[in-house]
Parts: sequence; C-alpha cells; structure tokens
Amino acid sequence: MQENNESNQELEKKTKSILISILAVAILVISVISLSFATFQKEEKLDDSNSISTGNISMNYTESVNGISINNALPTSDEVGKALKGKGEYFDFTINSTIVGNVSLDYEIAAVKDKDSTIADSSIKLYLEQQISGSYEEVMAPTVFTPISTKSKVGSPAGSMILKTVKKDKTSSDNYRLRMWLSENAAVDGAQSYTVKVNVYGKTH
Amino acid sequence: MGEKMKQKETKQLLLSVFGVALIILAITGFTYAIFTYTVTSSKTNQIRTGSIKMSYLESNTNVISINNAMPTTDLVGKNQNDYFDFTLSAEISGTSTISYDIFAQQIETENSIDNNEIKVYLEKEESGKYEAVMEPLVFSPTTDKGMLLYKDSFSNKTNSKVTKLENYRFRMWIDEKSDVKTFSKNFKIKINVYANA
Repeated sequence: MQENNESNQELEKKTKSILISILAVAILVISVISLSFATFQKEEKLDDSNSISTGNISMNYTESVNGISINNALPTSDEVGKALKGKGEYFDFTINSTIVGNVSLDYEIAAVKDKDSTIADSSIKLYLEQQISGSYEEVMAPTVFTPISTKSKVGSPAGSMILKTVKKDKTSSDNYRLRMWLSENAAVDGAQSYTVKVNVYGKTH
Repeated sequence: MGEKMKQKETKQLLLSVFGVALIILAITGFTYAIFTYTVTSSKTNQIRTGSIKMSYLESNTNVISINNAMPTTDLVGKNQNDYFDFTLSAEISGTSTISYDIFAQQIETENSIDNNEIKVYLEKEESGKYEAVMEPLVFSPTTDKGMLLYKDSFSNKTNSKVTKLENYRFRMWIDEKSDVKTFSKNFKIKINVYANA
C-alpha cells in the first residue's frame, strides 16, 4: 500500500516535470517563430543608394551634388546667414522612411566635424530648415556647434552635433536644407577652415 | 534513496527552467537591436577664412590731441592739423568681395563733453589726395558699436591673391554752437572697423 502511494507520488512529480518542460519549449518555439522574420533581415547590407530594409522598415538618404563651400568667410550675422542662397552656400538632402505595419522609428540628423577643422566650435553657426508644404521653414534656429559628450541612444556618435530628432510611424519623405557660417562674434586669425558631414542615424523602438 | 531521487529530480527541473529562461533572455536581448540605420554623407560642408588685416599709423603726430579746444566752425575743423590717420589692408585669395564698416566709439571718461557738442569728419585718400566720404556730423552713436562713419568694400575680381590698401583721415572738433561750459571737459573716441559678409 505504502509502496503504491510512493510510486504514485513519484509518477505525479515526473508528470509535472514533463509538463513544465513541454510548456517551456512551447514558449521558446513561439518566440523564435514570431521573431525569426526580423532577425533574418538584420544581416542585409547597405546598397549603393544608401538604403536598408528589414521588410517592415526602409530608409533612404539622398543629397545634393555639392556640399557647402565658402571661401574667405567673414563673421556673419544670423540674419544674413539664414538667407544665404548662392551656389555652395547651402546643402540640401532628403530622408525617405518607408514603414509598414505597427512599427515606429527614430532617426537623428547629426553634423560630424572633421578632425582637421581649425576654427573653434564656438565660432561656427549651423541652421536647419525643412520643406513643409513647398517652402522651407526653420526647424533648428542658428546654433553654435554644440557636440554631445556621449553616443546617443539612436546612435549619433560622441562629438557630433544633433541637428534634429524625428519620430516616424508612417511612410514619409523629408527634405532638409543646411546652412553654416562664421559667427558674427568670431575672431579668426589667418587662413583656417571648418568641415562637417551630415549623417543620419535611425533605430526602431 | 527516495530522498536522493527527489533531490535529483528537483535539480533537473530547476536546471531545465533556468536553461529555458536563459534562451528566452538571449532571444529577447538579440531582438532588441533588430533595426539600426547609419549613413555617412559623401559630401563635405566646409567654410574657409581668408584674412583681413587692419593697421594704424602709429606716429604721434597723426593722432588727435587737442588741448584748450574751442568751439570751431566746420570750415576750420575740416582743415585743422590735428587728425588721426589709419590704413585698412586686406589680402584676398580668389574672386571675392569683403565689405567693412568704420565705426567711431566713445570711450567713457569723467567730465565728458556731451555727444551733441562734438563734430566728426572722415576723409579717404583717392589718387594721392584726401577727399570727404562723410561730411561733418554731430557725434550720434546708434548702436553698441558707436556711430557708423562709413561703409565700403575690398573687391578682387581675379583668381590670384591680391593686397588692397585704403588710407583714411579722421578729424573731430567742438561744434561752434557749443556752450562755453564745456571747458575743463574732455572727449575720447576710438575707431573700429568691422568686416562682414
């Protein structure tokens, strides 16, 4: 009798162990299936047109033929700098985001300074506009180049300046225009230069 | 014996649960960074400064130093021998135009003469001769930079580097309408030049 009770208890325990194991494996299988589509797409590399896709999200970055190129730059007021419109005095670029399904994306536009720049950050002003309903409107007021001290959560590197942070949950195409000039109060002695590149960093959340 | 079996089964169960939990955590951690996007622009955005130099004649005979100043007519003031000469020079590489503004800024002193009792006058050398570019005016500062005397520019229409020079002569005097109470007072001015785009 007693032996029967003990073996019944053992059987119960074994059954319980098996059930827990089956449940755990089921959770594992479901997790792998639901996430396998995205993990498979992660390894796709950038193609020549600067785009990447996971199937649900893709981004594309295009830029004008030439960047800003100003010689003999002089201290410039914000009023004049914002209106620079000659050849080589502004830089246009476009960010296209294609989003399908219930996904959202953050991206940052960051100015990354070239290490050979000799003009002080505090002597440089940057200004960003976005095209809205056909005309360009200010999205970042004239601002002295201000680098971030650590890498941002989205991916902008330490030392870069974040010009704009954008949250997207649907497909869109955003046109931007960057201007850069020597600050009105700059005191620059002799021939010096300042160079930046405009990079884009995106991340889902 | 039964106790040992029980412990062994418990250990196996715990290990299974722990193992599955680890796998789930690993998958969760891996999928956190599913999609990131980085693009580096191929275009550089650059500004380069040229140089603009300003020099003053430093001879003591070419600065304004008027003692026992008296109210003076414009005709006399424009020709007085007390004046301040200065030269602007600019080196310009390539085709470019550099504009500049000449300002007169008062230096605060005790017992200063009133602005409206001072006349200022500016000439520029053209073909070896000084000619008026600003007729006598009452000193009237309108910005924190002082009173704008004159605006001009240096221009280079070639692709080579050029040096340009401009000579100026500045005079100031007490306006003929000034009250005699201005005696025992003084007035100091400095000349600043601002280049701008």
